Amino acid sequence: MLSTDKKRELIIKLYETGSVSLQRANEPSLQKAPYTINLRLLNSYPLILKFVAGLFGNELKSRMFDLIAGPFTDIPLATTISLEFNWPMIFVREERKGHGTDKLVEGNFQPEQGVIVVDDEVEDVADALQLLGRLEGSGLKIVALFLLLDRGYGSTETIRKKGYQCEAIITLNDIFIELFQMNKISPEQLKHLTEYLASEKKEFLLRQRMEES
Amino acid sequence: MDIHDNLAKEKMILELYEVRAIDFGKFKLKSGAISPYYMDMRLLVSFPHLLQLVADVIWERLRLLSFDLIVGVPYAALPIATAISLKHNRPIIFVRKERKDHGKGKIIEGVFHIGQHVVIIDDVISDGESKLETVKPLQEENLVVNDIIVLVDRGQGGIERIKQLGYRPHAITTMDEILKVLYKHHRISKEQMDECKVFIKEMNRAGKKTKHQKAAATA
Repeated sequence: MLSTDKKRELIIKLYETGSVSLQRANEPSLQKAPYTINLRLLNSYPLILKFVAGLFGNELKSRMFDLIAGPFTDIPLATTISLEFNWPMIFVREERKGHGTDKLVEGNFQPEQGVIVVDDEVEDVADALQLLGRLEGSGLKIVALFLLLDRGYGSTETIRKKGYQCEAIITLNDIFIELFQMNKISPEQLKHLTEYLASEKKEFLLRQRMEES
Repeated sequence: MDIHDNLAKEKMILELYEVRAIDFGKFKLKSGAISPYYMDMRLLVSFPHLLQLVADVIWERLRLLSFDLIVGVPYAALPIATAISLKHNRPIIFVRKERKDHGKGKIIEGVFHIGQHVVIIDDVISDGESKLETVKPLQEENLVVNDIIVLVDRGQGGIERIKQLGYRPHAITTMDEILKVLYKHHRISKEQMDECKVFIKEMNRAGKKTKHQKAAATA
């Protein structure tokens, strides 16, 4: 588990880099969500990337696995964890049309090896499941999917229901509460944000149910 | 370059051969031609110490340039750029290979500002075409591209082409040098070395021919 101090440090870093930003009160906005999340911005802050890799390392080092894997969209984070802890890495590339001979999984690996997939977040459950499927299709065993952020809409639960272990270092709710305690957001804002989260979750579950039936 | 750099470079070449990031045999290229050698720098991620060594060798050249940001070209050079970024605390951005069709379809990922100078890092250079494709979106965002560093120059005219267009190309090593080092350390035979050299020469000639044809067609 993440210590309170580390968690606070992480949240401050996410907030200060603008990786997680909140819509100011009374600010006219074109988008629906009262916050913006762009964790890819962290790639431009090497020291913060190292810090985040350290958090992943703390969670992963007590587990049994052979390789870490990154999706093609997030090679820098996986590379940083690999370099910091000297764990060999592979990555899954996007599907390319035309070149049927191209490998989908890049790097050096053997069938039956255990893999921990690391990513900043699950933006799309179907994409994440496809990625896990490709690794399994290459003969690898999925040990776990490890994320930096779980927005709390229900995507991690859905992945868990498919039989995978899926964990996140931090949730969006953690971030809001911490920002509230640091007086970065008002009680009204916090209420609005938590209500929005709840509505997103409801919508997500509804969509899931529709897709399943 | 001083003697220590050359030693690091030789070590790097031998290790790249060891993990088969540089491999010899018969490899079918996308063009249909059969190549006697093949390079796959995407393998580096599976060997963190070697990834770091490659990054260190590139840094010896990079540290003499003035730049604000490092651009890593997916896929192979992105881990290398990340390794340099982490060790020397320089920010990276990267040009996406794929365009997202949902959400923010940005082609450049990371934090950057208009007018910043960037240096592009890539694994290999053939005829230089893919380098120019990388430059374009960067210039569209008003970033300044002067220097382009590649790990291996295949010897197919890309360096000259980029130079003619006004950029400063830097190749850490060439296929020619790699063959020499591997031959010197008895990793490949004289026949293998010569076969590769002939192949490179042929590719070069074929490349020039198609360029002439293209030039003639547009004239």
